[in-house]
Amino acid sequence: MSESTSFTAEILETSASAYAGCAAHLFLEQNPEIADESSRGDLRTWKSHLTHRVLELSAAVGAEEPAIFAARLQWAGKAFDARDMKTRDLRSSLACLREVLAEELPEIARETATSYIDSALDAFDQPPSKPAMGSGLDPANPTDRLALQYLQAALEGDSPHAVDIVIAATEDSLSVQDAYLKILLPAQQEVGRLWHTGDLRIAEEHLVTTTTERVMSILAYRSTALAAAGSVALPSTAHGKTVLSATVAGNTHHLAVRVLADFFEMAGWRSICLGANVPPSDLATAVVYFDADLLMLSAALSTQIKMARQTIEEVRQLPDRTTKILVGGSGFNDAPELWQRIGADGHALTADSAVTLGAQLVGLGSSDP
Amino acid sequence: MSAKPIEDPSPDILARLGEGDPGAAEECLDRYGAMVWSLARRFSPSPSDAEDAVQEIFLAVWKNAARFDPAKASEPTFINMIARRRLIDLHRHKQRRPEATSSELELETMVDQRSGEIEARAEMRLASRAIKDLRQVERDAILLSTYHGMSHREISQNMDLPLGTVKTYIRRGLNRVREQLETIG
Repeated sequence: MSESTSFTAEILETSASAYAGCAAHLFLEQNPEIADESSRGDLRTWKSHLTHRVLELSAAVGAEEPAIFAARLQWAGKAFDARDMKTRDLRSSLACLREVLAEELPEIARETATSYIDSALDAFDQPPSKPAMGSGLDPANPTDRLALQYLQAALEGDSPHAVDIVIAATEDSLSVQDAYLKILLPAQQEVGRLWHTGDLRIAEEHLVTTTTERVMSILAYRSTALAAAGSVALPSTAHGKTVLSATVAGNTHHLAVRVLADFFEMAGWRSICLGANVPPSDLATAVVYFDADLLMLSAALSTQIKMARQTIEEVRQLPDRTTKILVGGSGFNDAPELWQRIGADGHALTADSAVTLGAQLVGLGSSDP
Repeated sequence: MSAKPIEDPSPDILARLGEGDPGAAEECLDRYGAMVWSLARRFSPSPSDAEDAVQEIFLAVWKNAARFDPAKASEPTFINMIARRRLIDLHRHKQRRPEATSSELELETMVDQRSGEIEARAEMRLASRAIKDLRQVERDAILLSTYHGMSHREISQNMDLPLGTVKTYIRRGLNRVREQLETIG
């Protein structure tokens, strides 16, 4: 990363809310009709929206990836749309932010920041290349139908019934891995989609996630107990390699790394899951303590990429260690080459591909979950 | 009881900011955040107004750092000037708003009274020269109070001196500066 982009990213991050505040004032001044509407014209709300945009801009500049900011703006546009907010308000608030940054940033930082906004606004003005987000679950497909039934039970607060649906499916013919991949994860993705479109509230999302965690614990226990009793074969022969899974500091979404940890365990790894929000130095200490061969690091948002980079740097500084590092999470999805630039050894989009790639990185060849 | 020597802050943060050095902004916040907060809090009706003011002051610092000339002023002085100007702007802006309260107007009056001092650059340069001629302990106490925004109690702890002694040093030092200015004027 060049010094100039690093400086620009730092200034934007350090003073995000101040630049956002100036832009929010300007936006409401330029759009008095919005300022007159109490529901749309609240300064604090616009400042909060714009603070997110400045932080996303900082993340994109820090990663030298304009596409990250453009993708986040598209995402915000869809969220506006879903909540009956006007996307043209989002656009003009961004134009105000550009005006403020062009005026208020140190001269050395202006060109980079404004050019990122310009290219994001250009992309925002293009007709959408993908259709509006619809459900990915098809009731005609048997496992999708199970996922929908599971989701409905979880949303109704009937956790025991939700658990029964998944356990019954695994007792029938579904493998544990498929229970994750074809019921639990699609149900969670549907929750994310419904939240994005404004059809679900945060409490409901938490309700489903809590139920999913419960199911996963039961599945993990049953797999181990059944294998110990000789009722089922171990999914894979233990090979003595250790994987450590965690989300970076600031990322509180731990479900994905829990799934990954379980997949690695089922593939014969000694799998240690540290959960969410682990500071870089603590993670480095854990790599040594558990003698990890592989570190699986997750970042859910582009604004967490900087922390992922810091964590990787911290681990790389450990003396005499050859721990491989895999990254994943939606924070990396908008820029396909980003993982290389922050110093990771690989990037995985799915849990099963993470296990395959992880095995290759530590010299195990192929490793089927 | 001897006073702890005050470390002269390394004078290059603003120059590094002006050159776009990564890390300089955070260092600047670490070093001058308390001073700016102290000023902002003094001239703001509430802590949340003070927080907003601090953020805006640092925007101005980032923007103007490249103009900093160490031959004309020290870093704390430069930042102090920016802070005071921005505080005056903020209070003037609030006064234009219909919901400005009487306390805001009183505060603006206070700030306006100080603005006369701020804009008198020549006088400030003379004062700066006069401060340099003070005894070390008096100079340290005054700098901690004016540049670093410390309370007398904080200065007493920092210099390991009784509170009354700190007050005496500051009063005597300021009297001497005033006398010198009157002599020159």
